[in-house]
Amino acid sequence: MSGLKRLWQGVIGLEVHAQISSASKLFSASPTAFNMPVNTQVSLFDAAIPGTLPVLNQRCVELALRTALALNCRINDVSAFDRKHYFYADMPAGYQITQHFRPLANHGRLEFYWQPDDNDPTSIAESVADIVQLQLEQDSGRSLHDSERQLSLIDLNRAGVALMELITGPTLTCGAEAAGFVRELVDLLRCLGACTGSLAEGALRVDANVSCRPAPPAAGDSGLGVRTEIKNINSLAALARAIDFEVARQAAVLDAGEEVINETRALADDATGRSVSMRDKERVQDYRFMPEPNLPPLFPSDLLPAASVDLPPPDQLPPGLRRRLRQELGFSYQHLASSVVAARPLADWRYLDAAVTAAKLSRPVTSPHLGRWFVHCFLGNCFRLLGESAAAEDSGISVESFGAFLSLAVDCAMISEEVGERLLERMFAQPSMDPLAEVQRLNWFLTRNPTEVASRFSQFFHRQDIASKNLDQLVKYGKFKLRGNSKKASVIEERFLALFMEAAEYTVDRTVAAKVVADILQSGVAPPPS
Amino acid sequence: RALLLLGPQRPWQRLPRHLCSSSSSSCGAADSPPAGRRCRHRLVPDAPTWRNVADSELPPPTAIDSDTIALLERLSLVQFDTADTVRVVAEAVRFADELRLVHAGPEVEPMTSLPEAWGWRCPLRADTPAEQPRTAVLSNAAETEEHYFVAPPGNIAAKDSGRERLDRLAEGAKSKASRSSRS
Repeated sequence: MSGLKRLWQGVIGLEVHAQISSASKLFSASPTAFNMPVNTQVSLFDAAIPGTLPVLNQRCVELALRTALALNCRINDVSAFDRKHYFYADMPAGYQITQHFRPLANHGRLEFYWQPDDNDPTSIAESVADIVQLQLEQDSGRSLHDSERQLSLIDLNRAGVALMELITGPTLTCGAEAAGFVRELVDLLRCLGACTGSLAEGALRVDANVSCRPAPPAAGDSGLGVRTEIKNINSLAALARAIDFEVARQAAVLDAGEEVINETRALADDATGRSVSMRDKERVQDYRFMPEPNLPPLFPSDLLPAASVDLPPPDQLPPGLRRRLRQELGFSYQHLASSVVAARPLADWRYLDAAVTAAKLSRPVTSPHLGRWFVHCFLGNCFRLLGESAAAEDSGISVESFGAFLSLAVDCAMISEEVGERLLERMFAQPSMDPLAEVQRLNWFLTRNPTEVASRFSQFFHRQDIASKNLDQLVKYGKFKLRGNSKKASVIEERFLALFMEAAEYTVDRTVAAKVVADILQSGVAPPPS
Repeated sequence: RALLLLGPQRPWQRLPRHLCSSSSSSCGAADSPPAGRRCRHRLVPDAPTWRNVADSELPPPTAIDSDTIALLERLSLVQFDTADTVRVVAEAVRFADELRLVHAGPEVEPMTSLPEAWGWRCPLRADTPAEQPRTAVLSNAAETEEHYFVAPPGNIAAKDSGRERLDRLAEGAKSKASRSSRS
């Protein structure tokens, strides 16, 4: 943040509401299908008709407990429900049944990777978020506001659907980190089958609490500044931008010596992250939390066996899997964060593991290209040629063959990227092929020797069509060089380089070739010795 | 006063049985039992134990100012339209202040509901959806539009602040008094 007198750091906590994937609602037997006709999934209890009582849905508790276990939470012995009172037309009862005093679980953690610098593909950071509280609560209905006719239309299909609320501690520092956390959380929830995690459909809603404090914090001062809450966020990118905008706004306010007002803000512009104040600062909200008298307390330990059925161990859940891919196989952020990582069956990663062992690559793998070769190229070919549901093994390429390919492409880098892609395509077409033999047969090895590259370029350059077609380019090049206009000259050098690489079928090392091209062209236009 | 339930007995077993056994004395209607014999359960006191709480024992009265009125109106949707309402609320709060004199001690967990004390656990329901009657749900609504409930517009800030409301109440009371004095 430039132009400010001091350095400020953002302090961000998130409140995530995830719609639990159950067939019926939390306290009533209404269906929860998405996009059904208006008010067709509303029971008498959901509409707050007197004479009805809530009955807790066992599956919702099981899925919430499953999530709590995967997040390493401490599950409470006794949990109870409370009423949160406020008036709004989409909440017919006048209160929402939630868990304020005794939630289901506390003190969990989620490890995740994120990218601090968008422009640098190698930048990656690892963080841990604290899950302060995990609780069950009811969703409200939907309202459509018609300002012309001064009325609201209310659809209660969503009223009473089970939500899992996760509250994180104020340990996140910027928009990119918050987006990284939500991305990891969505993958985890999908893997557990607890929530579809779609921000666009509204199955997952995120509100951000943002404040600022001086960086570095003053000695002995662990206090947090006044925070604002940002609502109405519909995508991960909008979340990151909204948080960064708000941190910058608060830093400017604090820098000018003014105070930040505790308010709720709504995201107004997704592209810039600009938010506007939603509520009057004089409004005080008192929810009058009181225990829900119609629901006896819940003992979560009764349902733990059902919740942990088929729960994968930590290193097979997305956060643990990503940690292994990063630490052992050196995946870069781009491929680590890909949704493919969580979506592929675990057998695919075992296949990759076995191939890396067969290739005798030393662990941890230091080359960042392994991710690209497997996730982008191999799985990409699988998807394209064999269909969406094909596993890595369905390609017919044995672990040893793929291992041989990896030792060519990654460890020794004996072939260029373009050659590697073409080789992989051939392997998919003919799975029993030995990659090393094929490369030898087609002479696709990478040439690095400058003399050899120079001679190949000279051969290429003096072919009739190259010289004649590009005569004007050579003339221009000469002029630029003599005038000292190196920028335009290098453009022409790159053009020749591209033509050369293509003609040589990408079997020459690019850096060596670039230097060779530059040298030869320059030598051609150097003034003759006087 | 909450009943303390000890042991596995059902609450109705605690109701006092008929007071005296075969013995001659009739103690049915009398307030105090015959000398030397308790006729009621040991937890039921012998004489009424009401006592009047003096105003000085209570903490200072809560002031009902204009901001509190505005908040109460917003939270309860009850309109404070006469000066009398404010007085009634203040008296009710004063009455409830007596609860602050009860000290149960930190080791006593507040009881939320009776079933909790009996060891009831939250009953659970299988996750089976059932079809719902749209016509029944909409039948009570005065106004619907294409199967939506019609409601007044949401998210409107309150136009009056509490201060204006108190002033108007005071004015209303004054004008009412002057009207009644004139008539």
